Amino acid sequence: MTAQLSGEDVVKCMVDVARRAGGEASRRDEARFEQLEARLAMQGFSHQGARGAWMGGLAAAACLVVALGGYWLYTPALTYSVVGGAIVGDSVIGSENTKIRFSDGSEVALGRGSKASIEELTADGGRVSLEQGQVNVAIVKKPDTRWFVEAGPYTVRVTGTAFDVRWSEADRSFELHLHHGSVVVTGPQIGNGFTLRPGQKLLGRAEGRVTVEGPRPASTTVSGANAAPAGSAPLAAADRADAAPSQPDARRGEANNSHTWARQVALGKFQAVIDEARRRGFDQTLATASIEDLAALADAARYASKTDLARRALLAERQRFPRSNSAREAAFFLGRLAEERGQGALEWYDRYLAESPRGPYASQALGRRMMIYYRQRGPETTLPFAREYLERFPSGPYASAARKIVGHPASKTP
Amino acid sequence: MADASDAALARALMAGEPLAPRIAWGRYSPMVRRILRRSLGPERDVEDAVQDVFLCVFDKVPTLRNPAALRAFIISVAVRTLRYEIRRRRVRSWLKLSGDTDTPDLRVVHPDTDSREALVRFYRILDRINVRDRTAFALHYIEGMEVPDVASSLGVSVPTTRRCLARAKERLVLFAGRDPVLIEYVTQFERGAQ
Repeated sequence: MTAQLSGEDVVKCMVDVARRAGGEASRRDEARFEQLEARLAMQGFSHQGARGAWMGGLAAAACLVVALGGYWLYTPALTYSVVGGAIVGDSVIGSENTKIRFSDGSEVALGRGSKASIEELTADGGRVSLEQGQVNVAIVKKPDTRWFVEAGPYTVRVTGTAFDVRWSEADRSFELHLHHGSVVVTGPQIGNGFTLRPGQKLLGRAEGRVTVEGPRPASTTVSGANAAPAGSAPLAAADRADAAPSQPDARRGEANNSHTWARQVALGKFQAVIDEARRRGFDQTLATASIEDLAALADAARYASKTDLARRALLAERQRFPRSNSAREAAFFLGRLAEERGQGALEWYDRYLAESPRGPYASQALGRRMMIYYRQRGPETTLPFAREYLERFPSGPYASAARKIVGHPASKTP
Repeated sequence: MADASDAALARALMAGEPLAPRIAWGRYSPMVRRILRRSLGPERDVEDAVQDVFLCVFDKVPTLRNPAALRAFIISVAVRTLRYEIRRRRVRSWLKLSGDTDTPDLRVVHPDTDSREALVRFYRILDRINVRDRTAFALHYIEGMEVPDVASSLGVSVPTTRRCLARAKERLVLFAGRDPVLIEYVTQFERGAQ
């Protein structure tokens, strides 16, 4: 061993050796391509002439092996970490100082007992779903930022702001208080979008009224068909939306009287509701409980990831109270559960859209249905659904994906 | 189509044109193989991993926003495959399932047995570094990728990449400087070169 040789010298030399060692191209490329073709053929796919046939089980499995997220859009997606909270299934449950921190510097702080999930992350932003409770959202403003916060049927499009948003599934109430920046809110009785200004608070209530409180902008212009971050106007009638009340809904009506199970769900005590139903007997509960209790039990089971119980409770709603709004909405939630299971979602989304074409979840049902078709059958088959989505919800949460499908080369009609 | 641009080739892949995959393979499999082999070392047969890369590329190319970025996209998939392979090998090593990694890759074009042994030891030192730092080191120093390209492939920032490189190099220098086989080999190598 020479005293003059350092670790640096060794590394430098070995790097040179390694470069030379890996530099030779294989002479058997053609044979190896045939092996690749054989792997594809084993899975029942042929790339010869079949449009979109490269998407399939083996390819998907290979991607599942290597994918760490972010391949849906090639540009690397944002990442996040959860500080001080519990993760149950795909949801973050808030406790003391729970924060979801994103790699672009944005942050979502959860209130105690609140529940939220990250539905989507891209290079430009993401989609956070507030399932229950309150979050404080602080989004870093950047060019092309696209962040969405969904709470029940409401969607908040964020471009660089800080705000609080609260959602109560039990009494179907929505509150957004904007601290700075601007957001565009879509949802029931709001139409295609309403832009809030700093200091304003938007309140969506179960009986269908939407109000805006706080300072008014200096000028007003009528909002167009498509929501825009700038230039949108307050709602037409002073500080109160002159909205038609929504259809009576058994779930919402009783919840206004602080029903016990609904109240417990609102407080995040999901397991307590489930335990009580177990004490009463699940079969007995599903057969005799009121629509409010069934709805609360279904919600508690969904939030606690007890999917089988959730499914049973939702089906009981539909069977026992078929004409209620809750029963119609149950079809959408059954579609969500079916999606997680990997089958049956399309039928439920179709049923929800047939029963509630203008329901609060119509945008989500249309969008999710479109995405299922896209994954299963490719862009060409999905084209009509994408067009339908864009026609109905040009600024909806799935509008960007729909535009990609419409613009996809394989979607071009001859 | 063999002379088509990357953007045209990407569109052909998206459209499911029959010859496009073969063209893509012919154009990029040497690069992918080189990246994987230089990063994983001579002990491993990388052919399955190369095919995994292309299976994933063919599956995900419809989502490529900028068809002209096909090459960078393929590199990115290769890097992720690489990281998976490194992790997989570590787990197998912990679970004592690593028998196949001791079998020399007879197809490595490097007949010098001393060099092969030195390389094996060098890559085993690399294996002692965390996956991200190791990958960054292999891509930058061995494969010769520029730091911004390494950062893009790893999905991290340039400053983070520089820190990964600094850490990897520091640990490599420390371990390699204590390895008698490597020191002996390099000493003889440099004598032979003089």
